[in-house]
Amino acid sequence: MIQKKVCMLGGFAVGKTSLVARYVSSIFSDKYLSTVGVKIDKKQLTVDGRDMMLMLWDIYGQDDYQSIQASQLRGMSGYLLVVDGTRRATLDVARQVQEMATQAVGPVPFILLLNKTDLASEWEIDEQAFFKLAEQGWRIVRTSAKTGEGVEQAFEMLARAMLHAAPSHP
Amino acid sequence: MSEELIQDLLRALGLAVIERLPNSTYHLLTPAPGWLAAAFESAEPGAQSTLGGALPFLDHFLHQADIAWHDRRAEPVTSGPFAAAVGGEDLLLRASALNLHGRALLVVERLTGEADTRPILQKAREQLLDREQLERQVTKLHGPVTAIAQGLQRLMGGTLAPDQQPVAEGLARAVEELRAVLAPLPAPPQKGRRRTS
Repeated sequence: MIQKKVCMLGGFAVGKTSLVARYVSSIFSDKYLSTVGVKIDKKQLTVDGRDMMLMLWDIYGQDDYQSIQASQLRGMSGYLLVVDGTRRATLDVARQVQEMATQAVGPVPFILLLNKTDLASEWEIDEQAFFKLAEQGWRIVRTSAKTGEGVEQAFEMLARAMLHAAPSHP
Repeated sequence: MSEELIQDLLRALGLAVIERLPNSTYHLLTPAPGWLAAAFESAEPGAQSTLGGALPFLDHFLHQADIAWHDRRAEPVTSGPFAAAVGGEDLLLRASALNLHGRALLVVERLTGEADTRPILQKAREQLLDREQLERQVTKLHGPVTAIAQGLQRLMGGTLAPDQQPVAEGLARAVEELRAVLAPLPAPPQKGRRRTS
């Protein structure tokens, strides 16, 4: 079985832990529970006929209190970069984290998750910002950990990208 | 201090001291704390005999620890906090690798009480979210305040009755005070905002 390390990255309270809980255990809680440190979950799936085991590293959100350490990204095959669509500042954090991740492990596959689509009426991020990122080659998936929209699709898309990615040598 | 006392002390502190032997196996030097025993019990079948099987994060940390042991560094290398689901509970743990008396040691501790920073960070981040929410609400005032200021300007540019003039001036001062409060906050974007999914 192919094992891949996948990190959940982004600002705080964007829904990283909730996305993992939705994907791994099909559960969702409205209560915000801040992540401290790192927590690892596993999920087995089959992509293009290949059995894969994703080691999902739920890493605390980047903010003034905790900074993501490059050492935690070592061995990462890909990552999900999560943005809260109702908080514009989380896109800036995502851009910073993406730069840091690229420096740490090289150009591994990643997908930008535009999370909390269930809160569309509170949307704050300009669509143009995503068009620009898409033009730069960023893959973008709209998700809701609450409703499950796009969640399975995003993880599978990343798994497929990792499966077919050329090995990187940072 | 007697060996028995030290063992009891380490158990009371919830510390697991593990030695990495030259043949790359690990040997527990202390009595297994309850949380460690539970972690091994809750590991997936087939992975119950390895540290990484019981605590997957250690698989990662042991690479760093290997370097520290190999280089015989005097200072401990620590993992930072990591969470592990054990018996339905999320425990906060921290591992350290160090060399002592020529032996390669791994110390895994459960962070409890003041060492468990989760409640503090939870509170801090909730307050940050509240502040962000408040700022979003306040920035929405930019538009109406500007509209009021412009309307007042037009009114005061015309002819006002004597009793209306002080009222308008009072309103203008109030609007200026509001604008001063709003000045440090960015105006919300006016174009391209997503309103529907």
